[in-house]
Amino acid sequence: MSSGKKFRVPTIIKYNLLDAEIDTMFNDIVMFAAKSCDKLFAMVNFIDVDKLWVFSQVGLFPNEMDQKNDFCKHTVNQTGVLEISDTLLNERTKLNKVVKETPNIRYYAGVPLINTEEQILGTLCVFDTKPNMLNKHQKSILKLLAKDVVSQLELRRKNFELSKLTDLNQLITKNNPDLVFAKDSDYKILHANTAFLSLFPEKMRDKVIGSSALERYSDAAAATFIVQDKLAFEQGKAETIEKITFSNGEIRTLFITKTRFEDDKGKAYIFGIARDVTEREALIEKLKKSNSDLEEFAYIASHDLKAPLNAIKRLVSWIEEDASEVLQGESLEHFGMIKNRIDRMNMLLKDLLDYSRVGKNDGLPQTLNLQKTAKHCYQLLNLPQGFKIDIDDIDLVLPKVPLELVLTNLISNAVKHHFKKSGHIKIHCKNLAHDYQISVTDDGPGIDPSLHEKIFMKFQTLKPRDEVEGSGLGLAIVEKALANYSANIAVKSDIGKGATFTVTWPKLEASHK
Amino acid sequence: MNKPNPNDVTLFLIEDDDIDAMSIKREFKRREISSPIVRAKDGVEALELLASGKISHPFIILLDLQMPRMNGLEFLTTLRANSAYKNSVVFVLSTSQDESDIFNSYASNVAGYFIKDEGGDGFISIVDIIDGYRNVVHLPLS
Repeated sequence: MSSGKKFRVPTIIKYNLLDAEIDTMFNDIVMFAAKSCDKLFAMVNFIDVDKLWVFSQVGLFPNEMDQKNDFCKHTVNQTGVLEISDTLLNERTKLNKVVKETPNIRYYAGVPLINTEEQILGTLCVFDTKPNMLNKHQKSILKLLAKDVVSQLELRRKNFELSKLTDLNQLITKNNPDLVFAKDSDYKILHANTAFLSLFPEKMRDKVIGSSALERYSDAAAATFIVQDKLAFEQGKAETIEKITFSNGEIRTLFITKTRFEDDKGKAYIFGIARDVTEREALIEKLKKSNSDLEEFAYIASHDLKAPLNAIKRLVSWIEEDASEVLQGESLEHFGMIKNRIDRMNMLLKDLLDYSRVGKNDGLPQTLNLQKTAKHCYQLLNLPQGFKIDIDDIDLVLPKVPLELVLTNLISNAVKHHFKKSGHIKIHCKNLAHDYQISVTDDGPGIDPSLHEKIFMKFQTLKPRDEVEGSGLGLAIVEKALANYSANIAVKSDIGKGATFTVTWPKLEASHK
Repeated sequence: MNKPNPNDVTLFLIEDDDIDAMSIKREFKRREISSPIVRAKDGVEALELLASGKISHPFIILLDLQMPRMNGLEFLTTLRANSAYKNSVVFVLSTSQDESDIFNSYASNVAGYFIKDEGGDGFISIVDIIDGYRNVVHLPLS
C-alpha cells in the first residue's frame, strides 16, 4: 500500500512529536533491535518527520535524511521485512553516501511502522557493514519491535487526547455557572466544581469534598437534600426546585437535577447539576402577581362600577315617573338618552367583566352535540322571527363554556349586524385529523377586508354605538377564550357578500383515544 | 288568634344603601301599602333600635348582608342568640350570589334569600313577596 496517496494528519501532529521528551523515546527499541539482530546500527524514522532515532555500536551513524529515502522508500511500499543483503549489488543503494563512505554500509533490513488505521508512518531498520541475512527469529523480533514503536505512539496519542479533554473538562468545571457535584451512597460529596465550592466560605472549601450535607446543614435542611438524593438513587433521577440558605445567609432558589450513575464495579453515585434560578423564579412570581392583580382589578372595577350605575338608573326612572307631567319634548328625549347610555355602560361593564373572567374554570372537554349546543345559545339570544339557522348535526369533544361563549357571540353578531329583518345563518363543522373547524356563515352586509383586523381589537365597533349597540369586546372575548385552547378564529368576508367566521380548534389528546 | 292586620306589620329594613332603601319605600308607596317601614343602616344600629323598643311587634326584617360595622350574617348570629328576638322573621336581600352566604343565612333560619338584581326589578319582586306574606302569614305578636 502507498501511504502517500492518502490524505492524513501528519504524524508529527497526530502523535504530538514536537515535544523535547520524544528525543529519547525510541532509544531502547533501536538498541534492542541492533543487538537482537546482531547488527551494528538500528534506526527508527518517519515519513514526514525530520528526525531519526539511531543506535550505533561503532561510532556515529551519519544523521542525514537522504539515506533514509534510498533505503526506506521501498520498505514503506510493503508490509513485511525488506532486506538488502548487499547494498553494493543494489541499484538504489550502491551510490548512497553511507555505502560509499564511512561507515560503508553493506547490509539493510527494514520493517514498516503500520498504525491501527493501517497507515504507514515510517520504518524500523537495521544496518551493518558486511553483507548478511536475518534469520527467521530475528525477522520476527524486528516486526515485533516495529509494533512496539507504533503502540508507544498510539499510547502517546491517547494521552495527548486525554490531556486535551482534561484541559477542556477543567475549563468547564472552572467556568460553568451551574453547580455540579457528585455524591456517593453515603451522601458524601466526591466531586464539586468551582461554582459549587464558591458557595462555601473560603476557609471551608477544602473540606467540602468528602463531607456530607448532614455535617454542613441543620437537620431539617439536610433531611430535604437527603430525601431528593434517595429518590435519585431509587428512581435514577430526581428534579426539584429548592430554596437554599447559603453560608452568607443569602437565600437562593436552585433548580436541581440529580441522576444516578454506576462505576465499573456497580457502585451507585448521583450526579447533580443545580442551576441558580432565583432571579427567574422571582420574575415569574412577580409576573403571576401582576397578572392576577390586573385581572382582579378589571373584575373589581367592572363589578363595583355597576352598583352606582344601577343606582343612577333607578333614580333617573323615579324622576321620570314623578315628573312625567313636567317633562316634555327634548327633556323627555334626553331622559331616554340617559337611560340608553346607562344600558350601554352596563353592557360595556358586563363584557369587560366577561373578558376578565374568560379562561377561568372553563371545565374539561366533554362530548357535545353542535346542533344542541348552538340551539341552546341562540334560544337565549331572542332571535328575531325572520332568522333561520342551519347547524350540522355532529358530536364534538370540547369544553362546554368556551364553545357556548364563542357560538353565542358569533350568532349574536350575525344577527345584530344584519341589514335585513330576516337572514340565514349556517353553522358547519369539519372534523379534521387534529382540529375541529367550526364556521359560522351569514348572509349579512359583509365586512370590508380592510377592517378584518380591526374587528378583533378591543372596544372596536364598525358602526356608531347609537346605530348598533355593542361594547366592541365580543370578538376580543372570543379570541381570548380560544387562545386558552390554542384555537384561533379567522374571518372571510367582503362587502355585500356576507361573512364567514371560522374557528380552528385543536382536538385534545383525550379526544384521539 | 295571632293573625295581625297586614297594615300593622312593620317592615324593619336593615340596609346601608340609601337608594336600595328608597327602592323599597317607593315600591311600598306605589302600591299604597301603609305598613310602617323603619330603617337601620347596619347591624349595630338595628340591634340598638330593637333594644330601644322602637320596632313594634309584629315585624318582618329585610336584611342586607354587606354593611359597615356589623354585617348581615353577624347581625343574624346575634339576633338568634337573643331570646327576645330569636323568633324574628328575616328575609335576606343581598347582591351576593356566594353559595356560602346563602348557606350561612339559611343556617340562621332566614325565611328567604333574595338576590338584588342589577336592574332594580328585584326590589319590586321582594315587595311583592313581603306584601303577600304580611297578608297571609301569622306572626308572633311579642
